Amino acid sequence: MIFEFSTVPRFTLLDIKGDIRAAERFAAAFGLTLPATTNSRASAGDSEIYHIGDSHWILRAPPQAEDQLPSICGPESPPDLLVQPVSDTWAIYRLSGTDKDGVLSVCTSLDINALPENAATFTEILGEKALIISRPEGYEFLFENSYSAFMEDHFSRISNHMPTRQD
Amino acid sequence: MLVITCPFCGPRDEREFEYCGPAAPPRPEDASVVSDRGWVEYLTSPPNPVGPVEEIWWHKRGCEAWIRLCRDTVTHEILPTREVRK
Amino acid sequence: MKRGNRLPDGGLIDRERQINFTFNGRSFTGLAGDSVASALLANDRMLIGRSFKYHRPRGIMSAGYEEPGALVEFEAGSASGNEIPALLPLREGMRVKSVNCWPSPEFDLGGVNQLLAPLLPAGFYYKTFMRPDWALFEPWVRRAAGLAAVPRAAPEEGAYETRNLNCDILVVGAGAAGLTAASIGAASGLRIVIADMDRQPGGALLGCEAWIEELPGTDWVRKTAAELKAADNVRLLRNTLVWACREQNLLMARQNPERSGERERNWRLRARQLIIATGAVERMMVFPGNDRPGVMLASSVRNYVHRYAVRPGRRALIFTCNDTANEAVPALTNAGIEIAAIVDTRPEPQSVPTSGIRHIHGAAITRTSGRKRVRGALIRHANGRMEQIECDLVALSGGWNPSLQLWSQARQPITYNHRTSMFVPVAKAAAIRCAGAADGCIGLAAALRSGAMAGAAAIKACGCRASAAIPECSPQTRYNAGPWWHDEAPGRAQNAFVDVMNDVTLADIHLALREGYRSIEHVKRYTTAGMGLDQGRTGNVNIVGAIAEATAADMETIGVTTFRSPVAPVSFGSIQGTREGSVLLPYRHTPLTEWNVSRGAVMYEAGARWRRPGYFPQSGESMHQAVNREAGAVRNSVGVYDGSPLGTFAVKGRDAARLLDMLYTNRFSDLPLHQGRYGIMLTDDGLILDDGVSFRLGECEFLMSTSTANAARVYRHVQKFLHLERPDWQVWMTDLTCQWMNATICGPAAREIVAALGTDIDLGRGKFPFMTIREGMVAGLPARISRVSFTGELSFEINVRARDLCQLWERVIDAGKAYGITPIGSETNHVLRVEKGFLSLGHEVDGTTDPYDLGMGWIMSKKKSDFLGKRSVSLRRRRGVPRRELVGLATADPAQVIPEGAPLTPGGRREKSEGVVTASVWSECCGRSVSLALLQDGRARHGETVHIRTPEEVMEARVTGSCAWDPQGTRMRS
Repeated sequence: MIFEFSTVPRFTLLDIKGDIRAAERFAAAFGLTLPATTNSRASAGDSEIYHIGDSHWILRAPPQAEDQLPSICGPESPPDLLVQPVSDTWAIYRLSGTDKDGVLSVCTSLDINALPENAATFTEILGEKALIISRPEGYEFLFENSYSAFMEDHFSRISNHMPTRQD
Repeated sequence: MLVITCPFCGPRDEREFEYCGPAAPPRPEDASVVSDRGWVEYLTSPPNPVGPVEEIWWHKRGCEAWIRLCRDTVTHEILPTREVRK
Repeated sequence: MKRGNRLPDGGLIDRERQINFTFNGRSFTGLAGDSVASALLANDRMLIGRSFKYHRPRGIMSAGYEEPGALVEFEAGSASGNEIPALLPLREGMRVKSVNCWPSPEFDLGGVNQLLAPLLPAGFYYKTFMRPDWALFEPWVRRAAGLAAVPRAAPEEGAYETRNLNCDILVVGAGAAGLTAASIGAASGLRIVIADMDRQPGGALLGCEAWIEELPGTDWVRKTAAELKAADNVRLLRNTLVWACREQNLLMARQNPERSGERERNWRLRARQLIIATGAVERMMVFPGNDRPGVMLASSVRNYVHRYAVRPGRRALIFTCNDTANEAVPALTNAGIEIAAIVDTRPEPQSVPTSGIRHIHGAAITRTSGRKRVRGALIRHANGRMEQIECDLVALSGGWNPSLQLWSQARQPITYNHRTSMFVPVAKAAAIRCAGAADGCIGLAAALRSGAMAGAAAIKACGCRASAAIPECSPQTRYNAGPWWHDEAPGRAQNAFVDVMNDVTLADIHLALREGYRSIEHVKRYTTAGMGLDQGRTGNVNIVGAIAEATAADMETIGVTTFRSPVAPVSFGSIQGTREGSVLLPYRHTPLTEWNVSRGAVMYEAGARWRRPGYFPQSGESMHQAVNREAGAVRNSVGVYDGSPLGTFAVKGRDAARLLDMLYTNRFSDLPLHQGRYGIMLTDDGLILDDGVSFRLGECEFLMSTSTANAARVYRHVQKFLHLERPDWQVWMTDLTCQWMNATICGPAAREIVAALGTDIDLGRGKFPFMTIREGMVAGLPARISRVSFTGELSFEINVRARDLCQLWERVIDAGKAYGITPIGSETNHVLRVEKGFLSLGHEVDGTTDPYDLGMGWIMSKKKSDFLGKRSVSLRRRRGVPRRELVGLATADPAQVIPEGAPLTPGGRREKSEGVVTASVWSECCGRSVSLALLQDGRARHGETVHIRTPEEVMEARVTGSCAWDPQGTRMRS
């Protein structure tokens, strides 16, 4: 199969839970508006925000943004919002190539074809919780960094000579 | 494996969920004022019927919604879900 | 190669490509496109093996997975168990051999069983091999049982894969009906998947002459398949057998590799609409000698002629009770097979008789003759006259059985149709339907129409519009089945087989009925009929018919046995997929694993899938020596360990404090800022769920920690309580276990190490007390330090972002060199906590103890009227049953370590135990072994001598307090 599985360098990731209006105000500081539909993403410049649960968002910004947010988790943070940097929690991988859908079909029970273009959703990949983001050039996965070695091990085993379409 | 419809995510494979037991009656507001018998009755699981049963599923490998659904224990047919809204 | 059986033209084979193979060591050739069965028949090999029980000669009877007679296996190295030769595509260099015969199928020593046959009827083993002892007979019976050999070696890693595929419409079977349904589906734009177990689509169309839309059947198949392949929304899976149908249309399918190096695949297919177009299987007819090599299914003879250009014999007798067998006549005749006669059990001719062929009506075969190959058959005419007819081929058509395994697995109803004498599906569920012969539609025209309607209905059910164009075809088949289960007065019922694979005869069915087994499920199990590799596909309905005739019961009432998955054998490997070797189970690591391994750490599997260092043996050290050294370092100087896997959660919200008060047994709402408190969580039925330290970070914000193994369980417990019981409470939680990772420095010199790292946090005794948390910079890294101690020594848990952990660790090791800082593993952690009497889940917390038993009554708040578990604990304690309480033990022989789990009994006698040893370690710092135990009324028995029983001996020990080291806890508070 033809595919590429590579690691993506760390971004700033913020896990946001709480009141939707407080979340709106917080996201606005990055120039972002909250996505209108569930399990989708909205972008502005080089930042993105994912709506991945009820009253639950993940905001993604360039790596240096983290240093500019000292007060997020401190006593000055909004009382109706829990904002936690999770930039280290999630390891990011990219899957691309002609057979990326075939590879994905090995890893997950998620209906890949039903994923809209701007999808960002939690699902199970290889039995573990992971965030999958669909992009024009391929998919991105985010899963807990403690599973990195296991995931890389498993992906290295996924390759074969069978064509994806049978005639 | 079932297909469970999460109110937030839509239909997803059972692999994304964790079964959390049959739906129990609500916990008494203050356990200290309930009678002994009433307390034991609350703790004891409801029976496991042949036919529809209300149960709780957690969208653990998904959006983490808590879902109450009605499933037939013989046919696995699932009647419409409703989320336990927080 | 003997030319004899290969026809000069026709067949879906490539005459240019010869393939060499061996059978029982002899070399043969076949052609590309052959199956092993067709190649053997082309070489005039009909006798393939010997039967299961009686070792009767067995030949090729069919061309598909319903094969009841011939089985082969691969030679030694490639051994893979039983294989159906008709399903094996012939490949260069294949080496196959017979099964269940020695030395050869022609001359088999096991054939002596045929003489013993009267002693070996169905269920004979329920009445024999009992005295004096079954175990004496067992080895011999085991060796005799079974067919092919079990492969000796496991296949290589990497041979299997599992794939998921969702679609709108799944069509199982790519025959006439299936292809039609899929074509209509393709036009609708919906996502279509069509799967067929054969290596090329076409189903029954591969085995007979037909015309569809003015094309030969096989050309129509090729054209349709090409159109499907070209369509973006269609997936055509070949070599793919759908073996299970589960809830909500989840189907499992096994796809065999085509070329070497390819993986065997298991497909998890999920469909909104399912169309089962699995066709029908032709029924055998039951008469004495119906198992002889040369007796075949009529449609299979036709299949070998049409698909492989092979004639299985020279002179055929057709025995039938319906019209479909007539269609075979022209094809067989053109192939040079002489038709001796058509013997029809029906009294009157139902259709125009085929000219030039002898028809005998109202007649039946009473037996066949020939030993290793049929030589003739004895016919009884309607008037009673007997006639011997010579033939080397008997082609049977007892009717058709729709293949309903998947339908039945989906728990859909089946009924017996008396007009067509078939068990057919009854439409019920909205998302599953049958099409074609599987739906009881016999004949090409009916199949095409049925496929088109099923496709259209499925499309409509998906909310789309469809036009059901039904292809025109010929010939027009008639069925007119007149069911014939067996001869009225079967002469030798013990040779009339109802299950050829398992050697079950009509006599066995009658025996089962006489023994009182009336239900079809009992008859099946008592006789083993239908339990072989072929699952009785060609014979099961004959059994139902035989029971109906013997007991005057209704076919519908008797019914069929329950079909269970798999439909046909499936390898375990394909179900496992890529989950093998190192990825059989998931595992988790911290960033320090590389460092740990480079220092020689022995890695353990800890809870929650974490891999953690157990100990760090230095050159030549045993585990014991390493642990003693590490523990000594912590108690005397300083040690360091990676405490990252401990569960850590941010908890925030208006009701966060109320939540903690409800979860823990003690109060947290009064916790001052930046202070921490040790708490125990109970489940509402009063059992200890977890323990940990939680800190307050703000007015509505806390940092909760749990044990490593229970992090996920606690999170679920809290979320469930919040969502189900307190949906109006405002509390949010985020898992930080993998965000903040820590290096925990512990020992008398810990403070010096932290200072040496460089920090802006005031480490002074009064400024940074025990059980508090501080934020700042450590070693130039953003950090949080908490003063918690699981070791009983002065301890600083330095939390940094996961990206900084390795750097922090290197700095710590560097800064601690002067103090001999020692990395420690979980073995040492265990020793240290036992010395302190700290509780551990799974040891002292064993599902029966409550905090009072563990001497922690102080943690059960009296001020809170309610918290999870409070009511149940008090309820249990009021029962007045004596409680087992946590104590320490000092063994009489100080060097003796007690095996964990050893019971304490009164006087060491073999009596009901009064306690159990929960942990026991050698303690360097105490100079003796230190043990913890749960002992009945233990707290009142300090100073007493108790006894521990092990299989080898009885040990003595003195009951002490549970903390053996620094009972005041001054060291960790320093």
